[in-house]
Amino acid sequence: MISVDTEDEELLALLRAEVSEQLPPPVHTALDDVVRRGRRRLRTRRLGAALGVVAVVAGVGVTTSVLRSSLPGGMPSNQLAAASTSSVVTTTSGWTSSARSDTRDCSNGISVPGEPKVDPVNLDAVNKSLLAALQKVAPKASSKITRSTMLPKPTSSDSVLASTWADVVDSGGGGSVYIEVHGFSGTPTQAADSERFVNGECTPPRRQALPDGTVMQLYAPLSYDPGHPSQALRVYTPTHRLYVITAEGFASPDWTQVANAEPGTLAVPPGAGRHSLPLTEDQLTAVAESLAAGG
Amino acid sequence: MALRDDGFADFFTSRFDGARRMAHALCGNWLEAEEIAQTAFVSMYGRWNKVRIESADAYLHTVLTRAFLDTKRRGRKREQVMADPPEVMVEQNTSSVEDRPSLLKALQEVPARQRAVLVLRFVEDLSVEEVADALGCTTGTVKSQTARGLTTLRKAYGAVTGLLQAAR
Repeated sequence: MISVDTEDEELLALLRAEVSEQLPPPVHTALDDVVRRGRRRLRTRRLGAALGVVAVVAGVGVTTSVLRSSLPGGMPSNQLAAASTSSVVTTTSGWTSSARSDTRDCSNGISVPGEPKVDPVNLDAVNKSLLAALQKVAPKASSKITRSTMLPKPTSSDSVLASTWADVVDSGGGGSVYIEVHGFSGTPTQAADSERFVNGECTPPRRQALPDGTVMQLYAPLSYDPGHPSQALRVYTPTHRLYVITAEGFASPDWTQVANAEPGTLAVPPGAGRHSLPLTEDQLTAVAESLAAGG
Repeated sequence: MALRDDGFADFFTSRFDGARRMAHALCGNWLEAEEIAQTAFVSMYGRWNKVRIESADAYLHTVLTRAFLDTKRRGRKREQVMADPPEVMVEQNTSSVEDRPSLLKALQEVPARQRAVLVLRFVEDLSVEEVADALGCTTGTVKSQTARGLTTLRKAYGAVTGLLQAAR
């Protein structure tokens, strides 16, 4: 116990009284502002985390942070929900809805016991698997790895163990595929359940289980900016590897330096990009299956 | 608004004012307090899918305190805040405090981390263990920071009032 004597007690009682007597000015913060900033932060954190590691690994100061200025900063509140997911979702065979009849609340994930596995990743194998899969599913596209990162000694269970960007350029323009590798705890199904709404939207993702126990979860395309939509697919393998594979409607040449910001602060300007996803859901699924086969 | 946001909306609506009050105790300025509270809720939104309802309040204490400490680490200047005065002047209830030196003002003389410990411990009424969780430190650190913070607070308040011994 902390020793708090009588004089301290009097002092603290006065402090509590003064705090409770404060009459604050009206609140200026609107819920919509917080939600907008929160969504922007979710997106920026995902992109910025990977590229920030590049700067450390490569030692060339490539990027310290990434802003995506096209996020819905100026969007009216009544369009917030509609903006988070696209309204058109094509159906792909093999996928079933992950919607659950026992819950309608998508605000909280189900906690999964244990600490995620954070073993180092064989990045070369991931890159080779990715390029081979892209060549197979999109033979007419030009694909190349543009940035890769890896944490040789992960210190946090939240760490991005490895990441890699590949440009995918076809007649429709330049797009990219971005992969993050994480660990997870629990079974693949438990982990997938806990991340059904991980991107902040409330549309239940679709799910597919592979014979080896891998669970894949396909999310609806996000269309914050029509210039560069994105679509994510999460792969939970029985070896507790999580691959977050995101098809992006922009390529590495679309990153531009943000004016009046630190050198290396990059953004994809509004309207930049190919205005479509570089991979169909079938192609994205094939890439995911290829990575899943690597464990 | 999507269901995910509905859950967050309920939490925001019921907790924002309290968070702003705690931030005000930490920083002593309502505008800055609102910014700190807003930053904390934005941070919570980003993690909302991982926040369990039963631990949401504890998590709010953590992110709010960190948001406050971050502003101090960045060496933020008060002039920036005061450049945008509130639209509505608030008449303080001074009937019971008009002659009383401000303890809140004295609290601002306490170093930021010690101040955070005092506010969490004695204004928010958290246990030593809960404060340690919020600040990511040991209970021993909380105890020592509490003792130092109280000493500094006594000095700062005593300098104004002359009623309390400056230091013992």
